[in-house]
Amino acid sequence: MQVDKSIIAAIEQSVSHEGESNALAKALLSWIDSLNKGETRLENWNETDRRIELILGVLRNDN
Amino acid sequence: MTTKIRILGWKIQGFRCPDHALDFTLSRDETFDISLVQMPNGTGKTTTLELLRMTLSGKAVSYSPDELRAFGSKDTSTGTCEVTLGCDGKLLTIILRIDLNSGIATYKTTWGSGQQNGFRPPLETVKFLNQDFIDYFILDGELAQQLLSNKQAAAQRVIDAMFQADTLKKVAQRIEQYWHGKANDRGATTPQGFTRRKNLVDELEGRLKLRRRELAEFQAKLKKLTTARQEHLDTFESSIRDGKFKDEALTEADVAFQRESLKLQEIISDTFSLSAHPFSLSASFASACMRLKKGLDRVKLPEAAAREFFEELCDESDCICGRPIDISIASIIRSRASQYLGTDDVSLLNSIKTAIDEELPGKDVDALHSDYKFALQRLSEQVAVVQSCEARFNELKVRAGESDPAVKNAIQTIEDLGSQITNVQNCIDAYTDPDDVAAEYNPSEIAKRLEKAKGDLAEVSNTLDLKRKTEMLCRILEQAYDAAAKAITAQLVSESNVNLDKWLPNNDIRIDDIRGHLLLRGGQAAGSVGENLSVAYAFLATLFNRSTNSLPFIVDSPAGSLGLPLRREIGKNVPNMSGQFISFVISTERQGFVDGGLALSGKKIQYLTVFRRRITDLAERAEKFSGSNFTTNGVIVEDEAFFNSFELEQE
Repeated sequence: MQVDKSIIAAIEQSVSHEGESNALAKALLSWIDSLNKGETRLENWNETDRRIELILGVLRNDN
Repeated sequence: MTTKIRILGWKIQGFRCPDHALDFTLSRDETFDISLVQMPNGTGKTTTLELLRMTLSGKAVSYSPDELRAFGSKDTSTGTCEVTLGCDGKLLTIILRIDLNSGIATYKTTWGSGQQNGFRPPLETVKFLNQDFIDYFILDGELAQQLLSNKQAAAQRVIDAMFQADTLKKVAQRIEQYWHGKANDRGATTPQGFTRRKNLVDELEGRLKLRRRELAEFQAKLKKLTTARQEHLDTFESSIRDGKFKDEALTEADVAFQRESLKLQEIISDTFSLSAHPFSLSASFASACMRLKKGLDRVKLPEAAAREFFEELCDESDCICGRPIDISIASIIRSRASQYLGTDDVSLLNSIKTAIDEELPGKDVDALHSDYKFALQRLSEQVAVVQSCEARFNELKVRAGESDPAVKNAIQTIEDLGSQITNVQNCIDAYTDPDDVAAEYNPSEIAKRLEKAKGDLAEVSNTLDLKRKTEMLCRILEQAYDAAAKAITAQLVSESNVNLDKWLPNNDIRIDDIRGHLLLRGGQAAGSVGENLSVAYAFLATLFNRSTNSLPFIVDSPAGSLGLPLRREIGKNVPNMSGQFISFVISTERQGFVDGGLALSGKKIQYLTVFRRRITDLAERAEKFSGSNFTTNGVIVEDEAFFNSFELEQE
C-alpha cells in the first residue's frame, strides 16, 4: 500500500473517534492508495462518485 | 508499493554547456550510489542543471522565447537534452528539444510501447516529475533559504508531495463537491428548509382533519334536515289526503297531482325504452344500417382471416408457390398483410351484421321512428299536465294556509327546513369544490397537497442525511490529515535534529517545528550559509529516507560553503538520503567532502569530469585516459585519478 503508516494510523484513529467501523477506514485507505498510485484520478467524476457512494454505503446508519 | 526512480544517464548537445553524454549505470538496472560530476566554473553547470529540471518537469513550454534562446550557443540552431530514467525497472526517456531560433520548446516521451509527442511521464511518476517538486530532488541553490523562509511553505509542500498526505485534503474537497452536486439537484439543504417543510406537512395534516370533520358534520346535518323536512312533508300531505284540513278542493288537487305524477313516470319509462333502440331515434340511421348489412352479405366475409395467413407465411423459408422467402420479401409481405382483414375485424363485422339482423328485418323503419316521436309528444304533454296539477295544488295549499293556522304552520316549517337545507348544501359545496386551488376546504385537494408536501419533506430529509454523512467523512479526513501531518512533522523534526547533532555538535542550530517552513529553535530566523545548508540537508535526508518512495538526489556544489569538519560529516551522511546521489562539484570542494566524506561512506562512487575542449592542456592529458570521451566542444573523463588530480587556476 502506497500510504504512509502515519496516515494509515491517523485515518483509523479518526474513523474510530467518529464511532465508525474499520470497514470505513479500509474503504478510505483503498481509495487513497489507488489515488497515490495513480490508478484512479479525482478528475474522473464518474469513478469518484461511485467511490463516494460505496463509502457512504459503508457508513453506519444510526449516526 | 513504492515508486523507485533512478537517473540512468543524460545526453545534452547544442546548448551553452559542452555537448556531453553521461551514463550512471553499473548494469541495466543498477546505478552507482554516488556519481560525482566535476565541472569547473564557467563550464555551464548551472545551464546543465536547469536543462535537467526543464526536461524532467515539462516546464520549458512555459518559458518565453527569449528565455529559451538564452540557453543556446552561438553555433547551433537546435539544442536537445535527453534524460533516461529507470522507473520501477522500466525505461522512461524524455527529450527536450529547443529551437534556438524561434525559441520554441517541444518534448518527446518514450515509455512502454513507444514514443509520444509531448511531456507525458507515466502516472506513477507525475507526482515527482512536475514543476512544484523538481527543485526538491534537483536541488536549487536557494532551496535551503526557501525551506527556512516564513514567506514560503516549501517544507510543507515537499512533505505533502513525498507523503501524499494532501490526498486526504483533496479527497475531502471532492466529497464536498459531491454533496453540493447532489444538494443542487434536490432543493432545500438546511435544517431551516427541513423545518419549513415539516411545518407545512403538519399544517396540512391538521387542516385535512378539521375539514373532514366539518364536512362530516355538515353532511350529518343535511341528512337530519332532509329527513325532518321529508317527515313534515309526508305528514302534511297525508293530512291533506285524510281531509284533516277540511278542504275538499285541496284534497282533490293533491289526488290529481299524485295520479298525474304516476302517469308521467310510466310515460318516461316507455320513452326511455324506445330511446334504447338507436333505430327508433333516426330513420336515416336505421336505413343506413340496413344498407350496411346488405353490403356485408354481398362481400361474403372470409371464414379464415387472410392477415394471419400472410403473417405466418413470412416465417416460412419458402412461399406456397415454391419461391424462397428472404428477409426483404418477408418484410414486404408483413407490411402488406396489414391491408387484409384479421380475425378480430371479421368477428366485429359479423357481430354488427347479426345485431342488425336481429333488430331490423321485416320492420318498417319509418314506423319505428314515428313511435318514438309519438312517445316524446306524450311525454311533453304529460309534463305540462303534472306542472298544472302541481301549480293548482300549491295554490290551494296557500289558500288553505291563509284560512287554517295548522296548514300555515306546517308549510312554514317545511319551507324553513328547505331553507336550512339550501344553506347547509351551499356549505357542503364549498368542501367539494374541484376549483379549490388554494386547498382551503376541499379535503381531496388538501390530501393531494399533503401528499406532495410529504414527498418534499422526505426528499429534504434524505438530503440532510447525505449532508450529515458527507460532513462526517470530510471531518474524518481532515482530522486524519492534521493527525498525520503532526506525527510526520514530529518524526521529521526529531530525526533531522539527530543528523544535526552529529553534523553540527557545537552549533546551536536545531529545527523546532514545521509550519509550512522550517522553524528554528529559539525563534532563530536563520544561521550561517553553511548552517542553513546543513539544516536543509538534514531535513531532506530525513524526508527522503522516511518516505516510501525512492528518488535520485542531484545537488550542485554541496560543500562549497562548508568548513572542513562539516564537509566530512555531510559527505559521509548525505549520500544516505537517497538511493542515488549525483553531485556537481568543483575541484576545491574535493577536500574534506570527497576524500574525507563521500569516499568513507562505503558507497559505490563514480568519478566524472566534464570540461570544455578548448582547454587544450587538460584535453591532451585526458587523451591518455581510457575512460575519456570527446565531443565537438567538450571532454568527458570517467576516471578517479583524473578526477582527483583535476585542477584549474581560476578555481
